[in-house]
This record gives sequence, structure tokens and C-alpha cells, in this order.
Amino acid sequence: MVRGWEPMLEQVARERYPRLVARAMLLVPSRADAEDLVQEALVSTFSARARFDSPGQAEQYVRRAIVSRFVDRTRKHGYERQALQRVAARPGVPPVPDTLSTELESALRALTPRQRACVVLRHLEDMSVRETASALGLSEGAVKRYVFDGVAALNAALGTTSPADRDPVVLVQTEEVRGA
Amino acid sequence: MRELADLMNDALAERSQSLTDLPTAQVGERLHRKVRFRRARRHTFEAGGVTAAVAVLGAATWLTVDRGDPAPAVSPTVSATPTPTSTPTPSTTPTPTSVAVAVADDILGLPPTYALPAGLLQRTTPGWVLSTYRSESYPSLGPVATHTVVLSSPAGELYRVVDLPTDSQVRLLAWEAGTTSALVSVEAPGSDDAARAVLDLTTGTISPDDRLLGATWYVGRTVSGAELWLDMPESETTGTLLRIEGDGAPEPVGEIVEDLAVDPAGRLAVTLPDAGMTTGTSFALLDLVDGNRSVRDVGVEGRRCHVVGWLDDQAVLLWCWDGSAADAWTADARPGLWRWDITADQPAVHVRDVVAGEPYVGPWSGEWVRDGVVAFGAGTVDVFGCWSGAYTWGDGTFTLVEGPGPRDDNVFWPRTSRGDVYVEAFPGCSGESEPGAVTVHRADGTSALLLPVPPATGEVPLWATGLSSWVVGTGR
Repeated sequence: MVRGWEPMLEQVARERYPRLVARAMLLVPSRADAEDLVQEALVSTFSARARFDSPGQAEQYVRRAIVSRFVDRTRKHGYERQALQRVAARPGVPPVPDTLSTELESALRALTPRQRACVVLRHLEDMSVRETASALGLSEGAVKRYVFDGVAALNAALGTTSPADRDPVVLVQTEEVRGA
Repeated sequence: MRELADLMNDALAERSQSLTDLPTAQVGERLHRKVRFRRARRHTFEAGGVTAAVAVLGAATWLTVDRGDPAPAVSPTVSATPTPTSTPTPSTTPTPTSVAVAVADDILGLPPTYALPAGLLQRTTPGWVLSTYRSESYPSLGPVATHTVVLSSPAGELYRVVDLPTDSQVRLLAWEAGTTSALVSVEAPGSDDAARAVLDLTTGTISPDDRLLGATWYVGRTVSGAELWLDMPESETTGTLLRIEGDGAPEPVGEIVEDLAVDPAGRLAVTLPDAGMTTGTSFALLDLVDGNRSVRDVGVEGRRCHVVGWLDDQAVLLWCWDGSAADAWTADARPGLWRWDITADQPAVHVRDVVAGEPYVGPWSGEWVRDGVVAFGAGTVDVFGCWSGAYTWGDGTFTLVEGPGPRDDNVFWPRTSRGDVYVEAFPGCSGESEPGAVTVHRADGTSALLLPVPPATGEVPLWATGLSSWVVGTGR
């Protein structure tokens, strides 16, 4: 019996998998990790009750699921703490990038996982602060702070600029609101 | 100077074009299998109702399980032999707890069962358990071997009540012992929408009720006997609590944020006060009769809390932790239990700190056992992982009710009835899941396996699904 989700999953996997893996590579250090992340996101998205009218709509859900699952992973496995320690210990000489994509991936890797996730959702997915906070289980204040710090670091590393802040940055205590 | 967003989009396009050797076809096939399995598993999860749907520890794939000593389980008195065509000859005067005297039938996808003796349903009393088995083999998930309503005696003797269409999904929601009909939800073939319905246990006739369709979850009953349903799409965290009195139309009672816990009497529900919240320092109390809603600060300074469940009709058990800590389950968060008396205009009272190695009690996980005692499935403080067992909390003590059995169960969903704790347990939190089994742990200290997993056969060495819903018979 062919169910509604099956052809949609096949189409998304067939047509959009490379794009999804490319996005995940902005978050995790290897292509294998990125593929794992994308597959987890696809399974969780299509296992849920949500229905999609088009592959594009489904892809949008999966893209957000990639980021939220990435943050879940880091939270649960203590990767964030380790990443912070690595950043603190970094001698300050980033590897020489050879392409635009690796240049960006390297710069993103220097951010903390939550900064990375917030920057990707705000600047690639064009999600609002509220949407980003909701997707990642963070307070809006924390999202603003992560985005502000992350964008500043990326601009410094990549020689880019960003439009005037779309949202005023209010420094508040960083706080998660989602339970374990 | 180049804009960051432009650079990000260009870099993304460049990376996408470089990924030309991905095994897309194989990935699609693998994902397809996993999604089918998850969806089938989710259907089994949902049989537990709202609390199950918001299982706090998630279907994760990590770390180890802290094992406790399993509570002793008493095997059912039925002994099965491979005689699929045998005709059971039950005694003519069944007792309230045990009637089987014949050899049980082995039917693919079911544990050993007897044919239902005439009149047995009408003689059942609270403590008998009604269940549905909808068994699919692993890993192909199909076809459905059987979809059958099975009745369990308090001793664990199993009787086949009625067969259901294998292309539908019928989940038991409520059943009054001694009666021949049950409240169910029904998913039509190929649909994820479930409808409220009444199942005639003598004929298998399903009478759908189009008053409730779609993403509605049965919650329970109010003090007046009205049914409570939660209308909350799976992708949403807010919903509307609905009340159905008899044949009347569903009436909205109030807004529910994330989840709710109904007091033992069915008068009040506690929920979160604002959309977007998952923890807080205040909670909303919703009157289930008149719909009045009040938001109350629990007054726990410097901490955030989540609701475990009701201790009695006047007090809620809270799990609170350091407000600046990221996670509620770590020892660093200095978690503890608080008692919040809703009738007193006083802060919640600190009951006990909980330290590393003790149970971590997730939000909305508590089931009232008797006044002052709550049952729940729990993880372990400072161990990120799955459920370590089913516990009760009472008199200042955690008591392990059921731990991982030979299958290394790591999901535990307790329900309670008349002071007894019924636990559905299965492996499934880490890795792929197997069917659940239900054991009753009685207040008198005895236990009995009531609903076992379908046995493996040469044809089906492993079942992906089996027990799909169950309810404990209630009194009138």
C-alpha cells in the first residue's frame, strides 16, 4: 500500500539530499556527520504526523530539523562544553581555506554550536528571533546574543559585513527554556 | 565589502554542487524502512495517550541504562502448547480472577490465548485488562498478522475477545469492567486521522463518532463523568481541552500549553500558563467544570520547575532545579522535589533534594497511585540516557517498581488503578524498539505479567509491533 508520505520522502531524498547535506556541513565537522544528521532529520520529520503539500515544504521542515537536532546532540553529549574548550585552546591560526564553502565552514566551526545554529537559522533560513528561539528551545534573549556574537566573529574571519541588526541586541543571561 | 548572507548562500551552492557522489538511492531506501518502523512504533506509543505522546526522554539513541533490580514478575498460570487448532473448554462457571482450564491456542502474533467463554466479559471486575494486539513482523512491518482484542484476567490468563480489521488501527481508551463496549479511537486505512468511536466487544462493530476527528487525544474523565479530549496537533505545543457530556457537542474548557495533569478527582488540571514555555515558576490551574483559569506562582526562588503530577486533590509534585542550569536532570542543577499546595497562598514546600544516581522524573510523567504516592517512568540524575525503570515516590522515598528485564527494557510507562501500578515496558529508547509487555505491581506486593509480547516463531523470529493499546477495567 502506498502511503502519502512515501513518494514525498523518496522525492525529497532523491532531489534534495545533496543540498541538505551541504547545509548540515555548516554545522558539523565532517561529511559523514552531516549525512547522519540529515538522515536523522529526515526520519524524524517523516515519522511525525505532519503532512506536506510539496517537496519544498518538506525540505523546509527538514532543514529546521537538521539544526534543532544538531543543537540537541550538542546539548546531550556535552559537545558544546568540549567545543568551547577547543575554541579557548585554539592558537588563533585557522586552516587556510581553499574554497568559499570550506572558508565558511571553517569560520563557522570556530563558533560555539549554539552560535552556529542561531546564525544558520537567522541568516540562511531567515527565521525570526522568536522562531529561532522556539526551534532551538532557547530564550529570545539568548538567540539575540548568540547571533550577535556569531555574526561578529564571522564578519571578522571572512571580511564580510551584515546589515544593521534586524533586532536590537539585549544582553541577557543565557538561558535554555527547554527541559532535558 | 561583501554581505555575510550572500557569502553564505554562495558557499552553500558551491558545497551542494560538489556533493555529486552521495548514495542517494540507497539512502532513500534506508530512510523509507526507518520511517515505516518509527511510524508503526509511534502508533504503539500513542496508545498511552497524551503523556505518552510527550514522552520526555525521547526516542534517543545514546548512552547506557542505569539498571536496577527488576521487580519479581509472576508468570501467568496459562501454559501453552503448540496446538493451534485446539478447542478450549473453559469451565462453565468462571471465577472473577481466573477461568482458564483448557490448553491455550497459539495464534501468530498473539501470546497464548483462549477463546472467550460466553458471559465472561459481563462478569469481569476492575483489575481485568482489555488490550489490542496489532502484530507486524520485523523488519518488514507487514502484513499485519493479527489485530485482535484480548482480555487479561488479573492472573494473566488471556482471552480472545474479537478480531478487528487488519487495515485499521483501533486503540482502546476506556472500558468499564463488566460491560461489553469500550471507548476507542479508530484510524481508517491510509489515514493518520483518528476518530472517537465505540467498539462493541461482542460483535466487533465499531460505531464512529464524527464529533472528534484528527489530532485529538483522550485525556480522561471529569468529576461529573464527562470525557476530556485534548485537541493539539502533534506539531503544536498549545491546544484546546474539550469536554464531552453524553451525546452533546464538544465544549472548549480552556487552553493547554505543552501538556496537562488532571487531579485524581477530575476537578482541576494543571498546565503551563503561556505558549512557548516548557518550564516555569508559575502554572495555570484550569477548572474542568466551569472553565475558570488562574495562574499561580509557585514561589520557588531562583529555580525553574516542571510538574510531575498530582499527589492528591490539593497538591502537585514539582521537580525544580537551579534556574541558571541548562538541564533539569544534571546533579549540577541541584534538582529536588517540591510540594505545591494549591489551596494555600504559600510558596511550594521543599520536600527533598535528588542527587546523582537517583531517579530523574520528567515533566508530566506522574500517575497518581493513592494520596501522597505518585508513579512514573524515570531516567537517572546525571546519566543522560533512557528510562532506568518505573518508580513510585511517596513518604520521602523513591521505590523501584520495575526495572529492565531480560530484554533490557528502557522505556517504562506506568498507569495506575485502585492503588495498583501497571507498567508497560519495552526496549525502544535506544535502538529500534520491540513490542511492549504489561505487568501489574499490586499494592499487596504481588506482581503478574498480564500482557506478554507475542512469541517468536520460525516464521517470525522478531515482532516489530504487538501490544498496541490497553486499558485497565474501571468500576461503575
